[in-house]
Amino acid sequence: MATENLTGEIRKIDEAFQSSLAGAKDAPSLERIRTDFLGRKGRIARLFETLGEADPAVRREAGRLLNELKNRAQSAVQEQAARVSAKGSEEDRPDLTLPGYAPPVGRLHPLTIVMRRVKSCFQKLGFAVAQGPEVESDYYNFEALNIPPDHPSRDMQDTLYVSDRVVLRTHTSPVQIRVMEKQKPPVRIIAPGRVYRRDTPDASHSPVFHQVEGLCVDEGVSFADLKAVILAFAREMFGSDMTIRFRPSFFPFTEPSAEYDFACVICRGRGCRVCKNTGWVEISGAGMVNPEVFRFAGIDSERYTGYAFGMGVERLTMLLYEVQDIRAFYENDLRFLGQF
Amino acid sequence: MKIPLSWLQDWIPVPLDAQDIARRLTLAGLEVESVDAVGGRFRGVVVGRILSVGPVPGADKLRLCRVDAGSGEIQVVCGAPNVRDGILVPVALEGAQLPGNVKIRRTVIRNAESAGMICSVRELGLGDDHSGILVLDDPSLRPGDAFTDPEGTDWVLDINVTPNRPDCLCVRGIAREAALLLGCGLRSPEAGKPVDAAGDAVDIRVEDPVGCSRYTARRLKDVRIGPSPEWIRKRIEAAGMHVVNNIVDITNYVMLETGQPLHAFDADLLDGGRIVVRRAGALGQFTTLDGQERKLSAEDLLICDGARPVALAGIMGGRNSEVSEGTRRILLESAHFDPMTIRRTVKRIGISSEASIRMEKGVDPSGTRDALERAIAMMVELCGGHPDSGVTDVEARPIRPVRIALRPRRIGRVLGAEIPQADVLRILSGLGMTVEGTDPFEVTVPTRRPDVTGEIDLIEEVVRHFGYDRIEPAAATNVPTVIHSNREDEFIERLRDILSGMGFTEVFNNSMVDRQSTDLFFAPVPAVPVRNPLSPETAFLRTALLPGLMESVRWNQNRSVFDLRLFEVGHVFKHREEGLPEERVRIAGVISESARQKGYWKSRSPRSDWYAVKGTCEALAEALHLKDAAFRPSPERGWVSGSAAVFTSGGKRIGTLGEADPSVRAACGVSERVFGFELDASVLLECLPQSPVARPVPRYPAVRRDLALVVDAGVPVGSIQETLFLNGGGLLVSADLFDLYQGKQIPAGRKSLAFTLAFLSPERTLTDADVDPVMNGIVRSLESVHGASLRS
Ligand SMILES: [Zn+2]
Repeated sequence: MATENLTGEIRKIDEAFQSSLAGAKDAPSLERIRTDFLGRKGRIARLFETLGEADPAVRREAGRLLNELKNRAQSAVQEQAARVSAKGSEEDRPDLTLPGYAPPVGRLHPLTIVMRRVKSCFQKLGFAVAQGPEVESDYYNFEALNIPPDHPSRDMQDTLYVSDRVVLRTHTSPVQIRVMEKQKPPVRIIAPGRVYRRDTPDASHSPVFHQVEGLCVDEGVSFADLKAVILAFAREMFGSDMTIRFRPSFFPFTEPSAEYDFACVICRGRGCRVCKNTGWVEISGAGMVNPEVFRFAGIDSERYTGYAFGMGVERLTMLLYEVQDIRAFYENDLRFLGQF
Repeated sequence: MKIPLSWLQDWIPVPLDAQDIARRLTLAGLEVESVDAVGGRFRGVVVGRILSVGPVPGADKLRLCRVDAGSGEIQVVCGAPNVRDGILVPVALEGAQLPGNVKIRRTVIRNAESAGMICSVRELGLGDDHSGILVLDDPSLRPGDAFTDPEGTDWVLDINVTPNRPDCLCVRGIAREAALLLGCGLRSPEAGKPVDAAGDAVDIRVEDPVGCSRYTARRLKDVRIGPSPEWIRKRIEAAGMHVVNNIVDITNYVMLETGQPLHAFDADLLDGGRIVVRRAGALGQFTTLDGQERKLSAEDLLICDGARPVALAGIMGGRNSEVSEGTRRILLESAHFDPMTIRRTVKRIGISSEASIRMEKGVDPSGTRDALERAIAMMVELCGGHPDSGVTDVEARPIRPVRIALRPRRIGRVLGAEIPQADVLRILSGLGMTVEGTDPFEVTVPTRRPDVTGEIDLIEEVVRHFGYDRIEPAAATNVPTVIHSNREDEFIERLRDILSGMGFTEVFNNSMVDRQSTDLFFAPVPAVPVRNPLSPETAFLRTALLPGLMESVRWNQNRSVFDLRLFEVGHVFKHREEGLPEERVRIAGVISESARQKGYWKSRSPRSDWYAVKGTCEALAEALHLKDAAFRPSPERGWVSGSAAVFTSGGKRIGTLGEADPSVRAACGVSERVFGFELDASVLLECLPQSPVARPVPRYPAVRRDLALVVDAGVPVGSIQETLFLNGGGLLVSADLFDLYQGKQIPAGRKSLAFTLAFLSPERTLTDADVDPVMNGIVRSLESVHGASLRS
């Protein structure tokens, strides 16, 4: 065969390929084109077979052209195949409004979420997490905290008893004593955990609730440090414009003692029903560790000073998320838990 | 403690504003919980701002006003010609009382709701003007402020006095604090005419000086019992006490004013006219003046006459010596009793009175005589009495003021702020303390302050009146250089993340449960009982978490919330004969039958079953890289027999899983099938491998072969997998089951299993020549050991 014929034949195949490819909109028709042109018995392969009969000079030139066509056709088919499969055929295209196969989504309890925020905040300030038993001896829950038997301050909390000398802890403060007995200053801990009071459940009381209490003991620790730490905490939880207020109060284990308030998160201090028009919401108690408590823990109160503070996790959570009824935390209704 | 402002004003020489003094007291630690208006010609009226005025359809003269009443926006219908927006007006809210016995209610006028009434001068009883509503022009008023009658209104402060401050359980005590806060002196109200102190002594014998440190008394004759004057009755009632008669009312009045409880006996009913203070000993019973018969214990402190008990000391008088209409002679007692002694009797008998509330916290041992004389003066003036004896004052155990050294530098160290010396001196002397010296200050504390016993108490007093607000937060605070991590706490948070990541929602249940719940799951353990539970439903501490989770399932299912995957982390408790109960941290979860894959519409998503809970434990083991995680049958209470498995790692028992038994479900009120697990978090933590050591990933690819075989239906898949690995020639690295089938095409009693096997060598790329002989060996073993036949 002459060169012209061969070249013409190659051009014909090329043209046929181009027009077939242009019409190929799906995978089966592409596959047909691949077989027709690039298959073992395809048109390009068949033309290669005829090359052997041509004279060497023609063969070389036509071979080059044919190889070129083959490569070009192969990559064109591949590209078109990728394009077709990405677009998908009509019946393969997803209905974007059908739900996907979703793995189940679990959630953490709101108290866990807030407890973690509180812990993280104090951990950033260098406090370590410490824990203790929920059932405590009278000694750790009361006596070592300067609350002797028959003392009026025992009336401040209604206690659930297991036996004469064993109680369900009414606060996580016993952990502070346990840590101070083992670890000499500096001590810088928070004690998160579950506590119990003999309170009939209502919208703002639960016999079971959670506290985080903090303790810092070192040389040169002062009331000004306590205020700084509570302020840092308030701003981390409620925003950098949060303001706090300390009021004198009484706790047997701290002296001076304080109640600390945050500016009402609902009205930002202007006065509303939540804050009873005072602009402040009571958070919890704090103060300088009473030297009597140091005496129980065997720490030299001349050399060391310390501060302690508490907070109710339920109370914080209720303020953060505007939860109206504390009982919701323990009903575990998924329609409630799913909101956090 | 409730105190009328007018009474406080008697002691303070500058005019008091109720809100201002309430705020100052609160910031000094005497928290004022409420400030309520009493008296006056109207009540329940607040300042409101009219926000807008609109028409009332069908009523030309009426206007519909939107009013900001402080606690929210309300709608009020008003007919006054001068109503316009922007003005401040008095608004009588629902429940308000106006002159002429008018009570304000929510009404509907011409189909328009009206939540209150905007008042005219005449409606408030302040004058005759009824031409329009009263427009308030005081710019300091804010919506929501109480609008009160300028005449006759008094305010009652309800003060929450902390238990360390018995000195503030009286008007004088609060007044002392207020005077110091206001920087004015304290004035004494008219004390009445002094009464000649001469006369015979009262026969008093204090047999127990521990219980009674001081007993002061005097007799009065010719008293006429009758009602008290109006001003006394008003104050006593405002303070929350009941009026009785002039003598008893005066004892209460003086107690409210000075904090010293007084008791008046009918002197003619006292045997021999004598007073004996002693412990009850063998005296069995006593009837208090409320008519209750009280069983005495030997330690109770009594006031007796010549023959019998006449009062429970410091708590309540007796019926046998009560002042009544016919009383002519009284004996007035003003004493100091040991607080702890009083408190024990109060606690034991369960009786409490205004007197005992003060006595058990500690009244001023130096104050008995002043209070007695104040009451005598009032009784002489108001009850027509004459002295029948002199003042008899028996100090059985003198209590002296304490002296405390206060180092100025210590104040700065504790507070982190310097308090000027002038402030320290001003505050301490304002509290009635005398200060000598400068470094240290030698401070003498009055006996009315039993709470002030050490240097730190004085520092607290100083900062309390200096102002907590004035201590600036420290700019920087020390940072520790040792990090104390809490591995267990961090691990538990990680478990929470893993479980919630697997689709479980966390719940929190009460740790106090009923008896039945301690007994539903697992081998019985002695539960810890609560001695004084609120109800039988919360009389024990939980021994397992699963009963709480079952309760959460019940709660949701009863509200048509299904598809439950729940977990909880918490303590469980076990009674121990010695010491505190054993506490363990557990993590438990449940999956309800209705829990399905979300959005799985292509074919029906299967119901959850036992394999869902096993898969959860397996995934947990995989997430934690637990070694040799295994599940073995283990009969366990609470689970359906045959479904109970124990979950172990490296031979350590982590916990169990299974399907909740129908009887347990019935007991918990759960209708759905529930699959659960309960694991011990500390054992899990023990099973946790050490920190990983990275190894290079395999350099050569694995060869995969599928293997399908048919075995008897009873052959456990696990035993087949064991055989696979046993014969894997050290090259088999995984054998995952991907199909299990019974039914058509499979002979009855047989099942078809299909595995994907992966072979891998760390040294080279495996070829068919390597894998084929191993596969042949595997097939032969399966045939001989399990009677398996190959499917092709
Ligand atoms: Zn507010």
